[in-house]
Amino acid sequence: MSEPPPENECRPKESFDSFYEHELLPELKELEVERKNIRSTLIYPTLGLGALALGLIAVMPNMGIQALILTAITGAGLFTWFKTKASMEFRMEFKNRVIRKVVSHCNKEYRYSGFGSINRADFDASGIMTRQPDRYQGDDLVTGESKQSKFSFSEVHSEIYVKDSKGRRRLQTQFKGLFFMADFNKNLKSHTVIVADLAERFLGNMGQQLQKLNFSRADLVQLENVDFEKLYAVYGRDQVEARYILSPKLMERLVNFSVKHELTPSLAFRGTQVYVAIPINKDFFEPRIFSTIMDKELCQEYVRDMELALSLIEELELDKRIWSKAPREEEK
Amino acid sequence: MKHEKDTLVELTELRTRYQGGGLSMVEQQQIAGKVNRMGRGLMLQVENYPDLKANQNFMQLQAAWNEVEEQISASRRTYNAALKDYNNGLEQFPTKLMARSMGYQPKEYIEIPEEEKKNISAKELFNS
Repeated sequence: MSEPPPENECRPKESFDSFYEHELLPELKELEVERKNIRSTLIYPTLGLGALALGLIAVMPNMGIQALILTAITGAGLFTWFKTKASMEFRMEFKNRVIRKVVSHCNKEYRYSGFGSINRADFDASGIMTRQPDRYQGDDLVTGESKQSKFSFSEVHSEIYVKDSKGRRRLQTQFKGLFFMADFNKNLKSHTVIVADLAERFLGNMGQQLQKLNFSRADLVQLENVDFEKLYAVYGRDQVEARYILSPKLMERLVNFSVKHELTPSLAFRGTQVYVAIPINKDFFEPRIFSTIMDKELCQEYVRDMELALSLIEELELDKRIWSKAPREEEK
Repeated sequence: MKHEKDTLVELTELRTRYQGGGLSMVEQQQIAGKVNRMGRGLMLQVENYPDLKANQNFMQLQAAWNEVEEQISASRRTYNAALKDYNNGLEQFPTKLMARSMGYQPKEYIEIPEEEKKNISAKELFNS
């Protein structure tokens, strides 16, 4: 009998091939027909919009560059609206039939909700962002349990209003990527936040002095791991607790995680929870509309995205309970 | 069994010496380091007693001990980090002038044992 894979890894490649052939492909074949229909549906409004734009140029040849840009923006907006409307049902079906299976492939106990997301209250409670978002949305919520730690993650996109040089308000992305939260395995009383250290990375020691003047955060915690300090800045009200959380081993693991995935996540530890925000500028678990979805590589990418999130369980040692934190109420 | 008995006797003696007071900072650190090493050794010797290792009370003790160790380690690291700032202040201008006039002296760092730098291994503790 083969050994089961670690909890953070989905089943091995041979198993993925068979899973793809037997479980995903039949679903993908059916959905591919739907995708082609949507693509055809979208072609007519696209052609119509194109013809309208050409017509406008023909009727008004002296139309200025501003009018041209306006027409292009309106056209793009209308196209996006058509595309979203036409593909909504398809996306729902794709997520329910394909992504749900991908999640089960990783672990049968995990739950998936295509249009669910991490609660905004949890996102705000993490304190990773110094400002509450003006617009918040997310999808692809996965929840599960590893040993004694309940965890959940989803894609999150938060935006804030900023003013440009002319004083106009516009929405700007504050965070886009995977947001992960779980029960942490140590008792905590305070709030510790770990964020990417851009100041020190670009300005060296001067950057470190600037970090100390960051009034939107708690006190700077300077740690002894040089590699970790280059990547991250730690803020907390309790210097001892910050070091209790960030043991030498955890710092090393976070450095390795950043190097391996070329990502610098932000983390927060508060109460019983750990929060991790991994900025990745892509849409997770989304079907394609203009090219085939019967693509094994694409499905493997879905699995890799799952594994990235699940690897946090191991990196943060959430599956180990060697500290004296009391088990959750329902386990007593 | 004799080894375990000797270890416990020595631990008790060290505790009495520590509680007796009158020790310099360096002596206190030496005793704390020795107690730490012996405690760690004692926990590893439990490997020889499978019944004890599986005992629920002992497992709770191990978890509590582990917790205390990590808390102490975090406090040591915090102390050393603060001391680094303090010692740097004694060397740098203009704080150097103030420190000299106020009679501040550099202090010794608390030595962090190699085992703590390696960190606690759950595998070693629970042999899982």
